[in-house]
Amino acid sequence: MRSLPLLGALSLAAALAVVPACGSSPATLASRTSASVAPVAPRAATKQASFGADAIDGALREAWQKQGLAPAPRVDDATFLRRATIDIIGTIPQPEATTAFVASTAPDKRAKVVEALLASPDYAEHWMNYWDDVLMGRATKGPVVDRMAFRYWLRARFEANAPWDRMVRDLVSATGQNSIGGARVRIPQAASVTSVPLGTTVPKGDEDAADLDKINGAVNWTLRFEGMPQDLAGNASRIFLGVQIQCAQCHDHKTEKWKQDDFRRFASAFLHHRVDPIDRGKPMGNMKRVEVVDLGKVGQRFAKNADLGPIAATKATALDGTDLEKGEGTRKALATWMTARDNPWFAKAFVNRMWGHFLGRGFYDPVDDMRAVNTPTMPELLDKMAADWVAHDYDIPYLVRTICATEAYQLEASATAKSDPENTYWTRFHLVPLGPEELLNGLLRATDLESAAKKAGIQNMDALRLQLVQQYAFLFDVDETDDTPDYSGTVTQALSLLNGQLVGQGARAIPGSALDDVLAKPGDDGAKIDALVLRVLSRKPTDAERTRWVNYVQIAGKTPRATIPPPKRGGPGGGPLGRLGNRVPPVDARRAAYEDVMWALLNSSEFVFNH
Amino acid sequence: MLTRRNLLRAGVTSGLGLVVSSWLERAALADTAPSATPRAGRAKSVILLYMNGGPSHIDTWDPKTGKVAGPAKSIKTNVPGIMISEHMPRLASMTNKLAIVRGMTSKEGNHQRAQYLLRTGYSPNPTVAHPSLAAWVAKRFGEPATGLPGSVSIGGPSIGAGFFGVQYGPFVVQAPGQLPQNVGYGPGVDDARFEARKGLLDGLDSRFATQTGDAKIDGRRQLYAKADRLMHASALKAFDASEETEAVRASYGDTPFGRGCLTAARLVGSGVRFVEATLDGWDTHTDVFDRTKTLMGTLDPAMSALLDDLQRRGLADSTLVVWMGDFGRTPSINGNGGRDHFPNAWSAVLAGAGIRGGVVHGETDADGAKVVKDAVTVPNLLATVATTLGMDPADMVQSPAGRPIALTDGGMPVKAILV
Repeated sequence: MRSLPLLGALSLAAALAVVPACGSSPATLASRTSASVAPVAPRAATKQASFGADAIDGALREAWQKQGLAPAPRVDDATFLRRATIDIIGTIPQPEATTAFVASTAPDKRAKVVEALLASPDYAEHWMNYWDDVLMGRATKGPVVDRMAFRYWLRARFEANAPWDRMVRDLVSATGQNSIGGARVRIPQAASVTSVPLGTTVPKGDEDAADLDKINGAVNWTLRFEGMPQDLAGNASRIFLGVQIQCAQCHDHKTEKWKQDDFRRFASAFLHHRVDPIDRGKPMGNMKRVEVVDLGKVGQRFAKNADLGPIAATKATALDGTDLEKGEGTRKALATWMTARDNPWFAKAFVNRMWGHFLGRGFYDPVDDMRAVNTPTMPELLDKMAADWVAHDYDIPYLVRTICATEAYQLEASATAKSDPENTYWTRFHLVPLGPEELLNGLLRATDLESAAKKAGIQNMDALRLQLVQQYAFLFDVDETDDTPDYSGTVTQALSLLNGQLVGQGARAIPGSALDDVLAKPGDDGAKIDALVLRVLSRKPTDAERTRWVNYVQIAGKTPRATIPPPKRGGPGGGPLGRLGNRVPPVDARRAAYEDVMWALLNSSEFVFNH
Repeated sequence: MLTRRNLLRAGVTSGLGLVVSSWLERAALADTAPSATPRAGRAKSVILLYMNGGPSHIDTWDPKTGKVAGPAKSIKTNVPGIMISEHMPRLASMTNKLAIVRGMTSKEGNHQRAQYLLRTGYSPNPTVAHPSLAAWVAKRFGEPATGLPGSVSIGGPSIGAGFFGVQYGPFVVQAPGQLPQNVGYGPGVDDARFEARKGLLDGLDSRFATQTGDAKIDGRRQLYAKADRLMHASALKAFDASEETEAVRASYGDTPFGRGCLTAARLVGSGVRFVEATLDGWDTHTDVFDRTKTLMGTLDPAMSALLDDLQRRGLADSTLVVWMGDFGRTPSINGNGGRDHFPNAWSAVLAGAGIRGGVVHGETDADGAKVVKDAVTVPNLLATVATTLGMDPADMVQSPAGRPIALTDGGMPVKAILV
């Protein structure tokens, strides 16, 4: 992948060729390797799979029966492919992929397609985006936080299929240099005000991969919390262990297991390092290079901070009392303790999070809160899955494969299921709104806007994608703790889909666009409607839908349309897609009617949710 | 079963949260019975002028002499005994309208943490995403009848609605004084075509809602309806400051912040309950005196024109204007001619509805290093703002984790500056 790393998922070159011809073997995972991280040879599994998809199905069936619930029907192939593609690589399937997948008669085609998605270059891109967002949040700035280097680091780990315990160990105990320095990406004012999940240094091409090996992008996570070690501790505990120890940051709570002393002991582990500047002074507009170095004692700047006094005075200790001040540094000792096979939280926290990602709701919900008061669904099933995953050496693709093979993951999002009120037992599929990257990827793929942009003379595709990412990221204030049961979106997002450039231009029949392509192909109106629905919704229209939309284009297509002047103020204006023009050519009523259908498909809830 | 989600749902559907205090109901009734509760409920709207980065209190509202002072002189105001920086002459001439709180103090000296504290009244705690005061206001009073959003943030992202959900977060305007992005039709779309498209979309969404039986679809359709109302609201032009006369626009100063303040006045006039306008650049670790002077050159015309303009529009008695930033800055001057973060002692200013003008509340020592009289915490400041709106600072809702969360973290209104 030679495009900007954060944009790789948008690349047309990465078009998903995932559907194996019948009988061919899926691409192997080893094909997805990185220049900077050696592929990790799978450790010999310590025991045979003892609790796979069949066992999970059995446990769920039993629970459903006991609760008097009944599952929705098994989801059709097209919806399964769309669902898995969004969940595993963060975009929608190509129309050809859907057609081939639906036509395939291979009995194990669902398993195979999951395998192919895991081997796609977009896999690492997607999980880089996911973890960058969870760990760094969207609002991270700061002179020493090199977001791009952090993203490179994450992507390399997912490319190499690094096991989760190793990744977390490296992250929590990271030492070394934050950045190769150089110019920060200048984020336009419009985007920077809400800050964008982008890196800060511009990669200068391929030679960067070598430069990046000299630094340790992982330290940027520690640096993101520079001056706030108590927040770093709270996040480490919440994200990697599902333990909400920061509840006890300020004082003891009667109902909470963890006391303020526990918090202080745990947080103290994040006080034993210092940050050495490499660049002295203030290199304006440039990344400031620093080095994170472990110390045998509490760092001076923490010791001097009055607020941290009680933490600094406390011996660094893990949650079970393990002394962290013996040996090679408190963060290393903490990382070792966290990722040990007998840690009671570590594997469960990850399995719960992944189950939540794929099934739309975790055993514990929200996924990062595994306190007993947060009543879980079937915690014993989570325990068994976590134990099985530890036995498989924290192998992430193994867990993805297992979850995707379960019956629960392959149920319809259907009103016909018999569910409990909040559907906590997963008897139907939870609708999940697409995240910003997923929505942008999906829109670009459905509309083929990049090809339209090329035809309109826009040369620099990377720059265009970067602008679009920025424009879109600011629309979303993704907060993973926001678990309001109803759809939550902002008016700004709705306006952007209703009137914004990406959908507005993407729905037009301009040279190179998906709609233009569909209209240019032979076939009657029914065939064209079929092709459009396949491109956007990754399925065939129902007979009723086909009839309705064919009627629409045939009636509206014969109704003369008024010439509409270009929008003035408040319209989409220039922006990254301005070159595509606001001029409306002499109105062709039939093409305009197709544009209306395309617009409605792109704005539909069915498109905007994973279902 | 009392799960967290059920609690949350109850909180969401009840609109006002789980606990609707009877105090509030009394306050609401008092609205119709004039001066029954003189200390509560005068303000209908708040305009928050947020000074991003942390302004130096010593170089603005709390001038000192001696080694901690900068080159700027302090000047007399129209209130005997109150002096402020010479770079705010217009505000000095209307200090009789201002309550200057010189006793502000907090423990948060980090930007992110302080900005969170100032907007929510709570120090960050990763287990709870606290709603901002703006979100409480948006949730309490709902969407104005004009179709505009309940809360608007101009030129800055502010802090969101936390566990209230993004629907109570601010509507963010990127370019002050102009219509927001994407409120007009795209190329080749007019009313008739937009309606036709909505019809097609409605068919798709109805089918999907029936098929899935999922409440999220309805939620999304309601959001679309809200966006549609905004697009077609006649009050939408409140965002467009070009309608104002040249003289009015000039009085605010030709700056984004000036346009933001003018837009804020227009929005409040159209029923928006909470508007935040940001002036960035106060993080003056280097060159504090020149930079603060420049910033006051932007602030002084904008804030004074805002107060005058609110009067002219008949909004002064129902609008509270709040000036605040992350924290103050050190009395000592560092090697780069700057001042560093200083949460120990700093200033905030209130004016308008429910506020007694021409007063200074609190006092710092000779160096501006310590509050020596009438310290005011951030929760107390926000409780004061809430009180002017007729909201009970102790009002509780249940967080998603099942914890009761009050509007402010134990904040008590500063009665001395309330009318």
